[in-house]
Formats: sequence, C-alpha cells, structure tokens
Amino acid sequence: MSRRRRRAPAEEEPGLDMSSLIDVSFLLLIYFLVTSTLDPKEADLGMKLPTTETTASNPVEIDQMTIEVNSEGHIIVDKEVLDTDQEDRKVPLLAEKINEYAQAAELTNSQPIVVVSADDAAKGQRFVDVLNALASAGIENVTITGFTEK
Amino acid sequence: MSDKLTRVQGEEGEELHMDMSPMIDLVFLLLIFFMVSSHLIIVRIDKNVKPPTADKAQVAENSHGRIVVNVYGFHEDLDASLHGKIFDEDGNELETSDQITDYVDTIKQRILDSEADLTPRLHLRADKTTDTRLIKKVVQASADAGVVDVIFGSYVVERG
Repeated sequence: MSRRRRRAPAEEEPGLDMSSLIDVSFLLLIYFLVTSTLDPKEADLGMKLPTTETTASNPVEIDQMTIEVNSEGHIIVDKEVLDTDQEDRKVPLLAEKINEYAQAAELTNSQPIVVVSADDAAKGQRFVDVLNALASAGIENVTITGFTEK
Repeated sequence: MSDKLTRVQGEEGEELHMDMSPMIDLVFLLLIFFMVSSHLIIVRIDKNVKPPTADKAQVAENSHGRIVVNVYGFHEDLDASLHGKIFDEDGNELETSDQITDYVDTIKQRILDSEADLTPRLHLRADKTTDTRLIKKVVQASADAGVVDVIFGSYVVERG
C-alpha cells in the first residue's frame, strides 16, 4: 500500500496550462469580431489628367476621341448616340468604339487622346461608367472638359 | 465486492476535468476566419457616400499619398441639407473651389514634405447619385493645386 502511494506522483501526466492561450485567443477573437465589417472593399479607378509635358516617343498624332454624356446619361460619340440605358454598367457600344480607337492608336504608335465632356447634370455613376470603359481598354490619360462652376 | 467499492470511491475522489480542446479548435477557426476576412482600412470611409460601381477598379493596397475628398449625392437616405455638399476627410465642408484648392494644396505639401517618396493623388469619393458638375469642380480645383492623378473610389460589384 505504501509503495503504491509513493509511485503515484511519478505516474501523473505532465500538463500544459492552456488558460493564458485561451485568454489571448478570446481577446483576439473579440477584437476581430468588433472591428471587421461586412462592407465590401472600396477599389480605385485611376485616371491621369493630361499635363503640359510632352513625350518624344509619340511622333504620330491621332485624332482625339470625344465622348459626350448628356443630362439623361446618354453616351454620344461623333454625334452618334451609343448607349442610352442608364442601368447598363457595361456600355457595350461605347466599349466597342473605345477598343477600335485604342487599336488604331496602337497601330499608329501614338498616344490615345480621349476627351470626356459630361453634362453638369449627368450622374456620377454614368461618368464612372465611361471611365470604366476607358480603363478596360487600358486608357488612363483622359481630358475632362466642360468646367463651368468655379 | 470490496474491490468494486474501492474503485468507485477512487473515481469519485478524482477531480473533474472538462475537455477544452474542441472549444479551442473552434476559437482558433473563428480567429483565423476573422483575421483573413477583415481588411485594413485604406481611407476613412464616409458612410454618407455610396460610390459608383466600376468592375475595372482595382483594390487598393495602401493609403499613401491620398488626398481624400467626399462628394455627397442626392439619394433619399441622405438629409436634404447635405445634398451635393463636398467635405474633406475630416468632415469639414469645402464650399468653394478655392477652399478645395487650398485643402488639396495643404495636404499635397504635407505629402511632399514627408520622408517617403510619394506622389500626391486625389482620392475622389463621389456618390453615384451626385452631379458630374461637382466631380468636375473638385477635379479642376485639384488640378489648380497641381494634383493631376485622380482616383475614383468605386465598388467592384454592384451594391444595393
């Protein structure tokens, strides 16, 4: 009996105290639960306004492309009304025109020159639709005209 | 009989343990989920602005060199007194083009004076329902301050 009592401590399994780890885990969990949101990430649609700088690598000039957006959100290029559905984010007809223009610019080794002339009353979403179509064709240098408000 | 009694007494004398491992597993799983799904805030988001959708927009990696301007729209959820107003990142109203130019110029100088080699960029958070005239006003005022790189804050997927 006495021999059994002496052996008992040696047979106990060594234990690891997990309580501090659980404390830290819970703290981190609560932190992320509180700070995280279900909102989607906002992304960047970049655009560069032209400056007075000129590059020597563009000897050939290409006709500029002017995209008009009227107050109703209709998109017009060369007096031709292209996309009229304000809910259509893809603007397929404009995208086609832009792609043709970008290819022509590439063939002539020139910088595409795009001017966006949006009516004051046109909605921000429509304006961004045009920029989005330009971005999909790889055009980031855009001139905005029609500044009226000071 | 006596052996059985001794065994029962021995079991009763032992301390009761709760198996914590499933809970720890679950906590770690949740922790990893929130760590992965949460993201760092790039710019301070003004909830009154509902940005437009642009599927070619790219998710930003950092907030360096950004000059944030919020342009409110005309949606019904927004108080009518705030319709079409322009604010800086701290919520100060920018009424005139000169105020916008001054604000952009101040932040631009701060960015250029910083140690890092950064290009100041206008981060325009314009509501999808706002008028283009307000966007043009901010872009022009920013160009007057010498900032020609413009970022339009947008969602990649359509939001309700």
